[in-house]
Amino acid sequence: MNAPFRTPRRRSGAGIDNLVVVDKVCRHFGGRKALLTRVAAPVVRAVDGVSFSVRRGTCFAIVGESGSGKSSLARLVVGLLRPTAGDVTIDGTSLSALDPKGLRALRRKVQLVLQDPRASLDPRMTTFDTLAEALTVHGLHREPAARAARIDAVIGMVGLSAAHLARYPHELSGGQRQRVAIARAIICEPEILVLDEPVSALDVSVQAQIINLLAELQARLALTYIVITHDLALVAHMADAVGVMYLGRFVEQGDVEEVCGAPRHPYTRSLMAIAKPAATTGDARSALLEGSIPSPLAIPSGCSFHTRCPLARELAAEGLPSSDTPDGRLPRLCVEETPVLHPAPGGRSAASCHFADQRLPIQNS
Amino acid sequence: MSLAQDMATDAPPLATRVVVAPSRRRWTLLRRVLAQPKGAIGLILVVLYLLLAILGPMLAPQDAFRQNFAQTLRPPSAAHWFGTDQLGRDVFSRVLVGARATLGIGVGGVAVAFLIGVPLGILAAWRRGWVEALLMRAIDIMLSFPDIVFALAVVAILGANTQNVIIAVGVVAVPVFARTARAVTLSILAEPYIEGSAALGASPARIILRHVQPNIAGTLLTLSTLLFASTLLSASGLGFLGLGTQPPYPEWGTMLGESRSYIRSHPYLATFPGLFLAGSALAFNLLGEALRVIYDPTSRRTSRRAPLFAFLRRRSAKPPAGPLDADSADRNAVSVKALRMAFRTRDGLLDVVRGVDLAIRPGRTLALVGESGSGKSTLLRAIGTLANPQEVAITDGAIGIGGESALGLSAVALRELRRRKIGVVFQDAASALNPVLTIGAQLAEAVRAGCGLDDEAVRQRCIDLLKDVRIADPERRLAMYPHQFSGGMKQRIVIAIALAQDPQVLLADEPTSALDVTIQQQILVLLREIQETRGMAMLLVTHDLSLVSRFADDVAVMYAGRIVESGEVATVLERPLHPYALALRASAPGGAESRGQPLRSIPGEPPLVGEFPDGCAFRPRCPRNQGRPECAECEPEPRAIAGRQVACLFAEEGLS
Repeated sequence: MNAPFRTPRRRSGAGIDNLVVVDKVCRHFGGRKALLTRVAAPVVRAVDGVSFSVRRGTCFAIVGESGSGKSSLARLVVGLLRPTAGDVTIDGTSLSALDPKGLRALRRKVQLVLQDPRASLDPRMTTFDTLAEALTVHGLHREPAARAARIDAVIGMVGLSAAHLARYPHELSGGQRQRVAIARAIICEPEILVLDEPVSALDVSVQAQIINLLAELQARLALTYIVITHDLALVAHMADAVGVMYLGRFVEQGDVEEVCGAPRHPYTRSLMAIAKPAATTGDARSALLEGSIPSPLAIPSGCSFHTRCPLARELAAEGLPSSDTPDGRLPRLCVEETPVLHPAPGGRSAASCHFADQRLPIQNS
Repeated sequence: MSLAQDMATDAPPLATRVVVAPSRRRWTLLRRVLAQPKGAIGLILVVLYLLLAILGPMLAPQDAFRQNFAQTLRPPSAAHWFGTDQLGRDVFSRVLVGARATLGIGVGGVAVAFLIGVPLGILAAWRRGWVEALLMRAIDIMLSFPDIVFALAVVAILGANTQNVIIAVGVVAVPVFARTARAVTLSILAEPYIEGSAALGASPARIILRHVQPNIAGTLLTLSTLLFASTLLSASGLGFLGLGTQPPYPEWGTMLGESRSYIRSHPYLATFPGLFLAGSALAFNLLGEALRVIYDPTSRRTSRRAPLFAFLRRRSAKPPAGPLDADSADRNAVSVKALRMAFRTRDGLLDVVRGVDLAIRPGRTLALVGESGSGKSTLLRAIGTLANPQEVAITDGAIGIGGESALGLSAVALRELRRRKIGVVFQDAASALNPVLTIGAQLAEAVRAGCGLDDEAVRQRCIDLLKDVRIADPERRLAMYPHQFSGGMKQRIVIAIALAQDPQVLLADEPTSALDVTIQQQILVLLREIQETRGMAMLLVTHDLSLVSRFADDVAVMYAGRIVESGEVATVLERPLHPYALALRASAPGGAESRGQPLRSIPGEPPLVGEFPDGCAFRPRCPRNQGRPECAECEPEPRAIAGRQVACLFAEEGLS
C-alpha cells in the first residue's frame, strides 16, 4: 500500500494483528474561554481514558446510551476528533503523529458509515457522483473507464444495480440509501469500517438485509469493523469483542461471549436483560434501571454508575458500610472510590465494578 | 437467501419513477421557475429589462443628450411620449438610455456585495473561533450605520461616478451577504454528509466547493435577487442626493432626483423613471420569491391541502356514522370497523388505511406493529379523533370510543369526546411540551379543561398526576420548565398530561423510540402499570416486536394499510402464521444463537403509500407466493385460524 504517511512510527508493543489500538484515550470538550467572554465553558469529559484494541478481521462493538461518549470515541478512532490525551494507533501508525494531510490520507484505510443515510448523503449528488468523489479525493482510478468499472463493481457488491447510479438520495429508499453509504465507504478499499448505528434508522424488515450485507462484505473484503450501537442483540450477533460505555468510560469490556453471556457489571446485566426476548410480560421489571444517565458535565463521584446501580442498593440494604446520598443509601466504596477494570477469572473480559462478582439475587431467579 | 435474490425485488417501487437524465437537470430550475405565476412574470420582466439595458441606446428615438430650450418641461405628446425635461431633452429616450447605467448599478452592486460578503461568511463559518468573532463584530459595526449614510461616505471618499456608486452600494450590502452566507454555511456544516465527506478524507477546500457551495447557492441566489431591488433603491437615493451618476448621463435614480424641483408643477417628469425603477425592483423581487419557494426544502413536499371546495366532497365521502354493534360497543373501549382512510393529494385520494377492524377491551393493551408506510400512525390519529380532515379523509367504516361513535360529530362534540375519553402520548416528548411554559402551567391547562375546579384543587391534582408518573418532589417540579428535564422525564410529564382527564383510552404512538433503552423500559413499565391500575385500554403503536411480548396483551401486525395478523400476544408471537409477521420475528438478530449465520431477511422494502401492490400487498416480498395466481387476484380477508385472525390465503402452511 502506497500510504504517504510522514512518519510511519511502528509501536514495538503492539502486535501486528492488532489493527487498531486505542490507548487511554481522552477527549474533553469546553473549558476554554471564548473571545470576549469571562467564564470558561464547563468541561465535558466525553471520553475519559478508554483503551481497547481490535484484531484484524474482527468486529469490535461499542455499546452505550446517548451521552455515553460512544460517538465521540468513534470519531477519535477515525481521526475526526483529536484526543485530549492518549493515542490511537491504526496499523502501527499513531494518529497524533500525523498532520492534517497525512490524516486525510489515512482516511482511505478507515471509513465511517453514519446512522441516517438520509442525512449522510449530499442531497445534490447522484449515487455516481457520491461514489466518484471518494475516488477523486484519494486520487484512485483516474481514467473515466477505470473509474466507471470500479463504481460498477462496488455498486454490485452492495446489492444495487447500475440503474441506481443516476438517482439522487431522495429517489432511493432507506435501505438503498444505506447501501450507497456503505458503497462509498468501501470503494477506496479501506481496512476498517466504523459503523455508527448502521441500522437503527432503517425499517425493521430492512435491518436484517443490511446486517447480512455487512457480514458478507466483512468476509469478502477482510474488513475490520468497529460498530457503535445501543442494541446488545446486534452486538451478540455480529461482534467478536465489545466495550460497554457509560459516561465516557468502559464499564465492561472483553470477548462478546463473556460480556454478553455472563455480564459482570450491573449496567451490562440490565442492558442484557432488556435485549433478551422475554417470554412473559413479568420479568421486565427486574431489569429496570432507575433514573437516567447523568449529564457528562457533572459525572458522579466514585463509581459513576452508583446513582442508578441496583446492585449497590442491594448491598447497602444487606448492611455494607454505607452513607446517605441524594440517590438513596449506597455503599461508601461505590460513592467514594473510582473502580478500575477487574479482569474476570478467565481473563477474557474485565468489569469496572467493586462488586463485579456479586450477583443480584433477583436476577438469578 | 443470497444477496442477489434479496435485492431482486428491491428496486421496483422507485425504479418506475422517472430517472432524471443529467442533460435535463439544467432546465429543471427554469421549468420550476416558469411553473409559478410569480416566477414566470418575474422572469419575463427581468429578461425584458435586461434587453432594455442592452438595446436601450439603439431603441431611443431621439438623442438623449440633445438639449432644446424651446421645448422644456413639455407634457407627454406624440413627439415626446414621456414629455421633455427641464433642458428640453426627450424623457423617453433618456429612460431607455438610462436603463444600462441603472441596471448596471443594481447587478454590479449585488455582484460586489456577493463576491466580498459570501467568502467572508463562509470563512467565518468554517474557521469559527476568533476569525468568526472578529468578522462578525466588524460586520455588526457596519450594520449599525444606516445604509445610505454608509454609501454616502464611500462615494464622498472615492468621488461621484457610476463605478464608485456600484462600489458604494455593493459595500453597503456586504454585511447581509456575509451574515446569510455564514448562517447557511453553519447549518450545512452541521449536516452529517459533511462529516461523512470529511471522514472520507476530503480536504476543506473540497468540502466547501463540492458540498457547501451547491447547497447554499440557492439561498444566496435568492438573496441576490431580493437585494437587487434594495441596491437599486440605495443607488437612486445617492442619485437623488446628486452623488450618483453624474449629468448629463441618464440614470433613473438621478433622473428622479433632477425632477424633484418640478414634482408639483410637472409630476410626469418623476413618474416615468419612477415607474421603470419600481418595475425593475418588482421584477427581481418576483423572481427572487419564486427562487425562494423552489429552494425552500419544505415547499418541495407535495401539498396535502384539501383542494378548493374539498369540504363539499368531504361531506359526500364521509360515511354516515355507522351504527355500532350494540353489545360489542359496550364491551370495547375502542372499536374500529372496516375503516378506510386516504391521504388527500393533488392527484386525488391515496389509500393509506384499507379496511381495518380492531377492538380493545378496557384494561387491555393492543400493540399495533408496523413499518413506515403501514398506516399505523394514521390509524392511531383517526382513533384519537386527531386526523386532520384537510389531509386525511375517512372514506368508509366506523370508529367507536367507549360506545360512542367518533365519526360525524360536530367540532364541539369531538373536542368533548377527546377530552373526556382519550389521552395521547406521542413519540417526541421534547416537541410535545411548550418550552416557554412551566410544567405546572401545562399540566394545569390539561386538568382545568372543561371542569370548574378552583386553583388549589387544580394544583393538588397536578401534584397527584406527577406522583402517578413517579416524578419525585412534584411540588418543586411544577415551577420548572421543560428544558430542565431529561428526555425520559419529559415523556413522563407528557403521560401525566394525557392522564389529566382520566381517559378511558390511552393512545401511545412510539412513545419510547426517541429514548434510550434503559429509559424505554422505565416508560413502558410505567405505562403498563398506570393502564392496569386505571383499567384503561391502551393502543401501543410500535415498530419494535421485542417490546410487544413484554408490554402488550394483544397484537395486530399491520402491512400496507391492512392488519395481516392479530390475536393474543402469546398466540401470535409463539407461531406467527402470516409470512410477514413470521419474517419480522425471524429477522431480528437473536443474539448469540444467530452468530455466524446470515439473518433471515425479508427481501425488498415496505411499499410506499400509493404504491401498494394489487392483490395481496405482501406478495412481491413473500416466500409463500412463488407465482401463485391466487395471491395476485384479490386481497386476502382476515380469517380465524388457530386462535387468531390471519389475512393470508395460505396461512395454514404456517401450522405445519
